[in-house]
Amino acid sequence: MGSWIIGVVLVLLVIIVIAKLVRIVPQGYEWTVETFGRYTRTLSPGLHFLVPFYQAVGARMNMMEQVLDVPSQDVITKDNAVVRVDGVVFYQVLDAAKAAYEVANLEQASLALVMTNIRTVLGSMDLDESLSKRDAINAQLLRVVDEATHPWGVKVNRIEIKDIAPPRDLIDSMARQMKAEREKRANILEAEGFKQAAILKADGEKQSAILAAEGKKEAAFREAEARIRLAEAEAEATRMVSDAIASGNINALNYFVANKYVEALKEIAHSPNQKMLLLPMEATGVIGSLAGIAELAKEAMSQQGSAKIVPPPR
Amino acid sequence: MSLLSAHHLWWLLALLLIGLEVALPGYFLLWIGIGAAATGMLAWLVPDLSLLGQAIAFAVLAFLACAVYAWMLRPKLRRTESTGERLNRRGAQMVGRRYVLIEPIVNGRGKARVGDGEWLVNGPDLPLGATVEVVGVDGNTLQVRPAA
Repeated sequence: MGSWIIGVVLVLLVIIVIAKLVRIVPQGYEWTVETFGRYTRTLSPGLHFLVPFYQAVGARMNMMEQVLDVPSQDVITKDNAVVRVDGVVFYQVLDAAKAAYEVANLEQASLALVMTNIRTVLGSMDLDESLSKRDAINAQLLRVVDEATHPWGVKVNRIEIKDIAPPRDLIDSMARQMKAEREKRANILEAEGFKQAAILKADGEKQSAILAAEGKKEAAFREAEARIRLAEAEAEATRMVSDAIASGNINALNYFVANKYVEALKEIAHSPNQKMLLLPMEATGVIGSLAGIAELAKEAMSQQGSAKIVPPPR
Repeated sequence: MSLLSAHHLWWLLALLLIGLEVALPGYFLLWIGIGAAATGMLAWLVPDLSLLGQAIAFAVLAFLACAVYAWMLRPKLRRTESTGERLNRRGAQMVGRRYVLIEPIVNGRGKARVGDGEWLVNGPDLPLGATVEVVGVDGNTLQVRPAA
């Protein structure tokens, strides 16, 4: 009976020991082997046999690229603005043994390094810069952290700042600043428009004044010319008349004058203005003209109407 | 033991274990099964072996099966692994590639631009901007030589 029990236990023990002896490392992982606690080699993915009781699996390192979330933290920029910053780190273990034994807690150590360096980098920039130069921040962080994690057999491939969030009131004033900026631009544009319009208007007025003056000048020239022409015509007419007189009789002229004189008197007499008082300027003039007519008549009688006014020479 | 003699029991166990090996991803039940089958053979050849003796024989045979596979058969069965060997080994994938130095190699240590990142390189001293060829990798450092 005792041998039965021992036999069964032995069989179970064999199963357990063999289960421990055969090690299968899954793809994406590497396991370190410790011989009595001392690191000896690294197991790559696949099937391995370890000598039981003598060799044991130490650390099981994930060799895949991993994402580490950097929790958000308050960072003070160069110009004393407090911003909340978070990010992600992509890293990959390239040397399982170093990552297992050179550093006690790889994730925590890397995270601490990234977080302190975010503070360092952002602390050397002012707010506007930190918001616009993500690439520069990422590159600088990557350089520092990659160098620092190198002894741990880790390659940091990428560090990205996810979000840089200034406090609410700062965002508000930034929005206000932008609005003011735009309004300023709009006002300037409007003023420029007005200025242009005024200039154009003044220019138009100037042009029209010039044109009007030119028209006037032209008209005056023409008018003067017309007057000259008129004077010339009058002179000509006068000359003709005087020629006619010179070649004819003075009395004919007298007749005309007397005729006009009488006609003018008649006109005045017919004037609707009742206050009009007719006062012959000089009765002698009228009488003289009458005498002139009488003389003319007399002459006509004597010459039997043979007297003719010679037409003026053309 | 009239109906089922000891060796039948061992063979039954062997079949059971080999069957389980197919069903369960464990890869260790196979040798125990082989050990059980061998013990069954032994019990069949030596009928008056005690149960304890059979158990000891089973243990020895199972370990022997394991050892024979692990240290004698497996190295011969192993082929040169191709892509699998390079999975999760970023450095190994870079051997033979050429990169440009973004920091001169001084005292055997410099930096090369790889993709949009940087890698530390070991090699002969070279000026900034020189092209290097990766000949090997050591953890997260590339072994380089000047590209011909």
